[in-house]
Amino acid sequence: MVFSRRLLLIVIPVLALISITGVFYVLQLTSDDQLPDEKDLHGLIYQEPRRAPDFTLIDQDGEIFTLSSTERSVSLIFFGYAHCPDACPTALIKYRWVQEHLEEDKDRVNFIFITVDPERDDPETLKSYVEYLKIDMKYLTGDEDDLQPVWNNFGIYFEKEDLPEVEGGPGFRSSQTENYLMAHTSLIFIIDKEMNLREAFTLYDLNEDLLADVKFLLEE
Amino acid sequence: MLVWFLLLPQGPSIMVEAPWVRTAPMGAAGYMVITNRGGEADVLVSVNLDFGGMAMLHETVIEDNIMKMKMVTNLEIPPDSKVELKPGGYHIMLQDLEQPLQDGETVKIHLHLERSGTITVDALISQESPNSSS
Repeated sequence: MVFSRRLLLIVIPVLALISITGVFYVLQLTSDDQLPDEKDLHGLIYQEPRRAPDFTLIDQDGEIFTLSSTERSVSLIFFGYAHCPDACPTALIKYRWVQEHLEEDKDRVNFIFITVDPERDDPETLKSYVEYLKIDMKYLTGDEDDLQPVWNNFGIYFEKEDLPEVEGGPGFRSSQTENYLMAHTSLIFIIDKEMNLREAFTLYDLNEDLLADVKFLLEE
Repeated sequence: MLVWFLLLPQGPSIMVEAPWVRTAPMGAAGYMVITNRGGEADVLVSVNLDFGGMAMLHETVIEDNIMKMKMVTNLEIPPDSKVELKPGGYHIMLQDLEQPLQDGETVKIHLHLERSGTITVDALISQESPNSSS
């Protein structure tokens, strides 16, 4: 009698412990299912995806482009300027690589490049830029009044940096002061089919990861 | 350790490999690998082409996800090491060139080093790095 009571005093707490642990384990499994991003996406993930702020700008053909028209497709957005010699071409070459590897899914992804330099980036400049790079993309510009809210909404920082006068050597002349460089936020933002901002990639991330994430968001 | 140092040539010994220029719609960027096999450092102080235009050494740096281009006035090449100019890093910024650059051709780039003097390379003009990895 005493023996069995003692046994119960041991068995019941142990059983309780096992079932509580079991419940936690199951909860853990289901909570993982609710956070696919942690395992499936490779960029800087927005923990709470928010609806991408809509905007209307002008593309390289002088036509109106509105972000909300891209619902049901995935969009990539990068901010830069045409006179950028190294970083922007590097980012856009990533665009081209991803576009080439998407094959039949190409038309379901929008590649967008928005200027931070509307002073120099007029539609004509944008057009020759896009044609030069041979990417099926939208290069967007507009009045500063139209661009400013877009820059603000995406948290884009940039500033002009004047090029200094440079001394010449043989076959060399000083730069015109009309030229300036711009420092700017260099992330590729990714928006899903429901217009939510999901993650951002840096220029040093792998093309393969960018492609994998775009494909994942297309199939989601 | 000491013996190893004695085996290095006195003074800097600069070699430039795989020079290439990637054209962009509004200018171009020059890239290459500069190796110093010598026992002393050298400094790249300026670059120029055979024709007019702007050629300046820059470094793309990302601070807090903001891309900046910093002008580099003196690029040190330490002894027994190499410095790589590649997309997203150090590069020769080329703008307002008096002659256009055609993909597939080459362009002469003159590198002026403090101790080694002028080294001239023929850079391949291409959209992609001539090396195996892009």
